[in-house]
Amino acid sequence: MVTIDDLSLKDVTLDRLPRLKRLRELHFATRPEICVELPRNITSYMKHLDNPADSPELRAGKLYKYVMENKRPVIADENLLAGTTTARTIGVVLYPDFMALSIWPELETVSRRKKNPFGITREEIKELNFDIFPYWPDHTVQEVAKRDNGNPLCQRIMERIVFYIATKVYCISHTVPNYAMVVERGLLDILREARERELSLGGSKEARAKKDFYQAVQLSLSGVISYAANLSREAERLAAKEVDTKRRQELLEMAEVCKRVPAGRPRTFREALNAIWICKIALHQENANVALSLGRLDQVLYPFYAEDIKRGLTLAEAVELIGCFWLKIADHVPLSPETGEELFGGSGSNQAVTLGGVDMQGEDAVNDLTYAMLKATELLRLRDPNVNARYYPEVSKKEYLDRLCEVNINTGATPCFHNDASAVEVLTGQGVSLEHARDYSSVGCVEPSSSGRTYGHTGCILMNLTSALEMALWGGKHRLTEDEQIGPKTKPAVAMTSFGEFKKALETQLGWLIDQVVTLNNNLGRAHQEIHPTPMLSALMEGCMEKGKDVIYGGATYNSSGAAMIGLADVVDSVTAIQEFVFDKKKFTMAEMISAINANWSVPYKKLQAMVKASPEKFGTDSRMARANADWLIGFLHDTFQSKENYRGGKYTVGYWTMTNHAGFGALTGALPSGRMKNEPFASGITPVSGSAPVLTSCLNFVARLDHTRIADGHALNLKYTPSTTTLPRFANTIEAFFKMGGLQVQFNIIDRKTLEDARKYPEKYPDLFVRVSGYTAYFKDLNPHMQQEIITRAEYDLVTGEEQKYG
Amino acid sequence: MTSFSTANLTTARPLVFDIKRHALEDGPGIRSTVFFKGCPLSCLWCQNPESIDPGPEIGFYPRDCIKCGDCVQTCPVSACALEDPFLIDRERCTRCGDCVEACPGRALRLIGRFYPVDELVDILLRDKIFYEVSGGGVTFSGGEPTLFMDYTSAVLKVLKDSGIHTAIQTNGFFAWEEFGEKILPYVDLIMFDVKLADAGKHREYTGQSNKPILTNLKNLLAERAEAVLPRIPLIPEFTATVENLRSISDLLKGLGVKKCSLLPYNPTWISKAENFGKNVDPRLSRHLLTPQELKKYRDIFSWSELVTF
Amino acid sequence: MFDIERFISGLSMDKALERLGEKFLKSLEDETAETFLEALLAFMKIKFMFDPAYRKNIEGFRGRYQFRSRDGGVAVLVKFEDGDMKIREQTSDDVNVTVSFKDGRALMNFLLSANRDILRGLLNNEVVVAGNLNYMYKFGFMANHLQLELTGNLP
Ligand code: SF4
Ligand code: SF4
Repeated sequence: MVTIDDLSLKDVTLDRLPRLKRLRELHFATRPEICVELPRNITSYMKHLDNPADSPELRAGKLYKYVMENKRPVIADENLLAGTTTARTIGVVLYPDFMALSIWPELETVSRRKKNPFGITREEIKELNFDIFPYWPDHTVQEVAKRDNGNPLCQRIMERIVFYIATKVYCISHTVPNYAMVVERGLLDILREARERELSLGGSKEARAKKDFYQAVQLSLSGVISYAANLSREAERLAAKEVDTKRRQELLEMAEVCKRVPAGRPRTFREALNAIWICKIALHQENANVALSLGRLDQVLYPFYAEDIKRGLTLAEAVELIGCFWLKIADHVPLSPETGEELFGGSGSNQAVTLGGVDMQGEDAVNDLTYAMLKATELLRLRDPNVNARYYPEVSKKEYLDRLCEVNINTGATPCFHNDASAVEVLTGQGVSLEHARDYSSVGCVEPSSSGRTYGHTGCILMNLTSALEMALWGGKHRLTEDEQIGPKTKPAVAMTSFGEFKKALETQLGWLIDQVVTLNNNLGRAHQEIHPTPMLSALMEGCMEKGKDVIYGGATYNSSGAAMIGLADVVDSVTAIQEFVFDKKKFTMAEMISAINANWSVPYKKLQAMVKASPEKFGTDSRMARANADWLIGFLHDTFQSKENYRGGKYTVGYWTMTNHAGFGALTGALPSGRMKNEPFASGITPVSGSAPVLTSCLNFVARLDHTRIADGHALNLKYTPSTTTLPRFANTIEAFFKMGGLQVQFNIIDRKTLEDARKYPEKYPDLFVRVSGYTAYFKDLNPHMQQEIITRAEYDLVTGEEQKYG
Repeated sequence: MTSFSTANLTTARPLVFDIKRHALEDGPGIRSTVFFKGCPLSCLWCQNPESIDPGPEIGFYPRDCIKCGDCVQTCPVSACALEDPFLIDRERCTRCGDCVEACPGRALRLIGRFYPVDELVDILLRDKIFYEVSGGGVTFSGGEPTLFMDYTSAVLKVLKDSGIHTAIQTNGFFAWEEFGEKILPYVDLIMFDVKLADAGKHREYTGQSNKPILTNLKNLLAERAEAVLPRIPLIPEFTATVENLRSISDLLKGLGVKKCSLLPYNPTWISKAENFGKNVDPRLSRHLLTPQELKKYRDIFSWSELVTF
Repeated sequence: MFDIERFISGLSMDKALERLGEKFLKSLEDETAETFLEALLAFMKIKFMFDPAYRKNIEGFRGRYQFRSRDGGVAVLVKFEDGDMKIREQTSDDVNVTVSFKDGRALMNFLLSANRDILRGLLNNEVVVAGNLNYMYKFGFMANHLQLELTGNLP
């Protein structure tokens, strides 16, 4: 319910919330440091205490009990919430059975590298090198999958980087746990249920597996409760030493909070926030945080907020607590070795919070807390959490959309906008019930997912579409891997006589690539089942308790896997150029096209390039040809992926969002038939190629009318609006129109090129400048040069003229 | 009834030189504006010089030129030269369009294209939802849309049937009966230019008398006052003089007008005109109006509601 | 592959370390870094022999590495076992990891973090690793450590 009059909460400022102001400054002044606590605890447990005769679930249950009990309770600053992801202020978490070992070669240089250095001490290097890492080379998910499947082709192909990435080698997060369960019941109640269910089971083999699962839940949750108790004791200890009476009072309150939650049901807004935060920490010990998302916090927390307001909590205090939570969320960064940094770097953990939209009955669900959370977002301007706003045309209020736009203008980059009407259609199309579909939230970048009941690993596959295009042009070979016959042998493009033939070859290569990547994801999924079940995530996921199954075995109510496609617009434009110039108009031959791209469109081919580039047959225009090709490609990818089953019995969905991968894959890819030059970034997400979609309304129209039910893993339309022209109601009108035409998601950078170029030159002047990448937000200074270039040259529309501002 | 004739112009098929989408300044909301080629007036300050001539013309867009020289090779009358700045000898050019065909990067474009009614309607309906959410619609501008009454009327009818808000921008130089029959029933807003009160000056600077224009304005106000929005372009030294604006103000007040629109001068069109090889009258200012000047002019019309989009 | 034993015979431990260290550093500066692999392996071996702190890296470690140049000119099998390092000019399939590289410079660019150009390596398809990458990471640490130590750049 909305009761506040001033939706912008103009009275609430950072100056009036000095704690947040200081914490924010501290956040930006702190260099991330590698934390060895988690890998140390996991390794010593595995070396000395693990019993390999136990089932995978039981082993995991015991392990996480140990990890949580031995986690150091840290209260490092004046944040009102207790608990830290690592033992550091901003920590880099290492997961020894995932990708931690990739930092091994760089341990002695990582603190001095140019981009995103991580602090690490001499002792920690020694400990990792001599004690921790040596245990793991044969025990990582990646190597277990490789060994179990005889080093299959699909995995060797991933190691060539340019084709696809299967992210299960990093973790299985990318989901929204059921935090409503945490605040409505408390962990003890969940633990009790697991106990009762365990005791009610007989002795059959199947029952034994379930029993192990229930035990694992109990063990690991008891570990979480111990951790909270340790935090409480730590707060008491600090309080006893504290001389400042106000601070002592705060610490004593904190001790009380942690005594109560997350074991019991919270009574206050602060307790509810802290309960969620402690659970989030726990889940983060189990899995690297790649888009471990928070869901609809304005809905989940509203009852606690409303009660507290009745009891006298002020709006400013509420915003302060939310701000404390937002800053906690940002207390760690993902590990990224140099290669990753160079190609794909600059990302945070991409933890999505979803606000607004409709409730399960389809009624407007925006409430006061929605606005309080928007305020905290506007004040803090942090890369995490990634704030996603839901809007239902005709149901949501206009003033809500206006406020969202205002926050986007003021922060330059957040929130992003989701269309409820389309998202609900997407989910019901995948078999989600209407009520559950309406209760969706965004995972990671943009992926709509029914909250707390879907394990949809929505980012398990990142596939480079242009690699299939290359193979279609070169009969199954790729320029990067030279003479190797990677894909199936198809007719060399020079010998093709019709556009249909070319499309067939592309389908063959795409189909083959999909086979590979799906096989790999399933292999990795089974490796997770074998060595890395997730009892804590399963405890907080609807469906697992009833089925008596870990999420990794398909315990959740809904079970899909999501694959993100990179390079959509570049491939559509390339295919369309081949259709238009080689086959329809016969302006030049396929042989000439291939010579041109082999020569990187250099001098003898400049005219061809100008011709191709100037053609209006482009993704994001009114072109019928480009539309037909986009529809065909999106349809083919959807149908092919949907025909595959994942290792949990769920389906594969396809999305178009790219994080920084369009720049990374672009850097590795040669010139394309679209006129794109070698090494240039691809267009991001579902965004047209910069410079090819000059008219804003056509661009929005094109994307909105793509069949979103075949884009079930979401899409990111990334646009830039010129700040001086971005005012209300213009801004809101473009979003409303896009949504009414069926658009699924759109996000904006409201920033001009000058500022970005200046920030590239003088990063020190812009420590907290943040931008939308493709799906999530990142600090501009952290992005690698390819990615910075892509953001700078990304299509920018002037909202007065509705035209793209040409770059250069 | 009048001494003017546009017959020689209207015999040509109507050519459209631009369809501007997401137009915000040609009426309320988000609009698409159709610019016709061809105008019976030839205002010295015309900001769309490509709109006066009803025939096709060759436009050059320097940023798209890769200097390949194909146009020079192609031109049958040697009217193109690959110099800096790029030159088309407009005297020689026969507008055959061969260079446009030859140009790989669309740096040379044919300005002015005929759209069958269906095709134009199809384009205009694409942005229907933008019109709906913003209270916008479609505007016909020019050139002079009333030069092509039958065509404009046909398009307007379809748009009205689709429930779209329609507007035209006219210089008022049209045959009243025909306008009343073919256009008036299908437009929601008529933006009517009133340039100069003095008949002699009007003839001098626009090439035509203002008599028929003012008669049309009177008729229109009598018939559909609520749909009419007089617009006064503020051209320094020409229309933007206190004397002229006072006279126009008195005239409009006398006609019972309640609201009007002032169009501040914007000199950025000059370089665009030069791309089309148009000569720009040296008396035209190259500066924006100052806020003080603007205020002075607005004050003259303070009795009315001043509309801006 | 040159003969380490002969190269160091008659030298004191310190001298031997110094000579091979110099040789390793020199191989990095060379345009094609043709001798990079052999200089690295030789220096590594002698470090294991004489430097107990460095030897700790391979105590209790078993690992088999195959290095191969793309043109077939170089094929070296490196075996770590019980604190010992063996270098053999031979090929074997029974290894944890196989590294094929275009040339010495490519391998160097791949292994050493300092001044490395990751993108170039990938774009030129310079190094292909097959097998267990974690073994490669470990080897990478040991190689980087040597360079950092010699150039006085240890943290
Ligand atoms: S339109 Fe014809 S005559 Fe005019 S410049 Fe082009 S080719 Fe020459
Ligand atoms: S043909 Fe076009 S691109 Fe070539 S020089 Fe002439 S105008 Fe420029």
